[in-house]
Amino acid sequence: MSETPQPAGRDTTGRGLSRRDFVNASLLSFLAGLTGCSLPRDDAYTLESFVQDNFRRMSEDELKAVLQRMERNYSAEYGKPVSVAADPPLPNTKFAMALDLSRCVGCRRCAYACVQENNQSRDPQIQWIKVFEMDKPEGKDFNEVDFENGKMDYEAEEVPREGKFYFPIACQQCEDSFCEKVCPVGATWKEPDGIVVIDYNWCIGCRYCIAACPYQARRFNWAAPNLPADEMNPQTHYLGNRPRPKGVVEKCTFCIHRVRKGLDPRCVEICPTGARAFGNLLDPESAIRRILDTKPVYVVKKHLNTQPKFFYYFS
Amino acid sequence: MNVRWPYTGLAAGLTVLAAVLAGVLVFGNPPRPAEVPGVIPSPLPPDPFDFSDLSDTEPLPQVEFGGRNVPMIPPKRLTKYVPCMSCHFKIPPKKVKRELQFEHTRHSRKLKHGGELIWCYHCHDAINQDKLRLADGSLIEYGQSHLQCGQCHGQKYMDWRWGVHGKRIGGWFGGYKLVSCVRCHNPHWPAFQPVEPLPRPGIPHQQKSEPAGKDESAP
Repeated sequence: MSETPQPAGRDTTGRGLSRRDFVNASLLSFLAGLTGCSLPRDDAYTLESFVQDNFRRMSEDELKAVLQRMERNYSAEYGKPVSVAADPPLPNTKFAMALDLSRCVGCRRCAYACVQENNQSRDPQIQWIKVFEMDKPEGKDFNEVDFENGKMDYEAEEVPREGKFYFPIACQQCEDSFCEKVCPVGATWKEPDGIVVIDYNWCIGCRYCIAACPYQARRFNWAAPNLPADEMNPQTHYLGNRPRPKGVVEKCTFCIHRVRKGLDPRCVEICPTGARAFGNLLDPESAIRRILDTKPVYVVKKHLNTQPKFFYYFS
Repeated sequence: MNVRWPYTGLAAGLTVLAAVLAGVLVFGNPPRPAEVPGVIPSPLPPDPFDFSDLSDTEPLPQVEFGGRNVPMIPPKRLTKYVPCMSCHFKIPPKKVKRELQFEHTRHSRKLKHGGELIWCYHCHDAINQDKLRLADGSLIEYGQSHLQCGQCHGQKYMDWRWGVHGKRIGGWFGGYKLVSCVRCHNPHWPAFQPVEPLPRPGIPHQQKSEPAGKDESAP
């Protein structure tokens, strides 16, 4: 292209740099970028990841190639075989969780089990589940609970403490989710089984969803997540617990890689008192339906009409 | 009319792309250090629920209710002091409620069940101490102790059979398993003992640690 005859008057840009040099330099820098001399071994910074489509628009072949690429890159990064699944939602399912506040002892095992299971960053520390300690209300009326003075940084020799109760909260998986509405690029959406998910490769990190979420359930990766290779959980899901890059939002997905295989979420499994229950809302025989039918269940901030699929009750 | 250089658009596009890529590659992400020690430990104590004593070949006992059969993980088999009658055949039962003496403390340290109301022979049979005794006088095996609990704790018993109360095992799909009451609750002191909580979450500005692995551009 440099041999193209050009009129002399258009040769310079007026800044002392000829256009030919400018184009050559930019092409060279582009090619130098492509060779990847300073590329970290991180899937999010590959060229294929850069031009990848939204998860919902990908064809099966594209998705397969993306999953294979991710498995290859994650395996190289963490030094062990990592599987990235994209299990589709099961038919006739609508997941929900219920939590018995009378039985929660505030031991925070769910929060740490979640970190291990879902590959959250250890430092800076990201935890999806927050456990608040609050004063017990006089009666058993949920509406009298003083949420504003709940403390999540309580330290105690032993829990539960007298006169306190404990309130774990994570993503409420709203039917009418504000986070989905405000996302300017469509990187977060509600799956047919009711789980609100994020395509980490499509997220631009604008954090509108964090501002919109009334439950403060979303976390932002301010720095590159620090995930020790030996603690990394190699069973991952594209929309769930695969390692996140810097600058994207993440949140609870009901352990999407587990529940779509028929397992309980990790927090449900680890809970030493069995305070959490998980199940399919569309199955009338399930424990979660039994709770909704027989217990006075509450949802948090019901006046917002987000219709959470996370229910609290006192037994 | 001058002849236009035909690649202006292409060059402009490539320039923009190159600038974006160069920005991403140079400033976007510093290479991660090979090994960063976990600064914030995630100590997770072992699961207190130990089902290793169950045999794989033996089928689980079933709990029947409402036309359903739900498998139940039976109570742990006691290895000490069983059968009870090997000692108790020579000790006449004293049905009077009293302060427990030393020989009773070897069975259960304290009896903290139901306040002052409950006494040994509300549950244990006084004559045949290898059995439990229901309120209607019928004798049951120790493996069926959930029937005994259900006599007083009817609401909890109902919840338990539906899978609402109790430890969750086996996933949400395709049926659930019940866990016998006494696997979690000591029948002589059924309240859960207090546990030590795991450390509180770090406050972001207190998480400054070794500079290794920290991203300088992070606020």
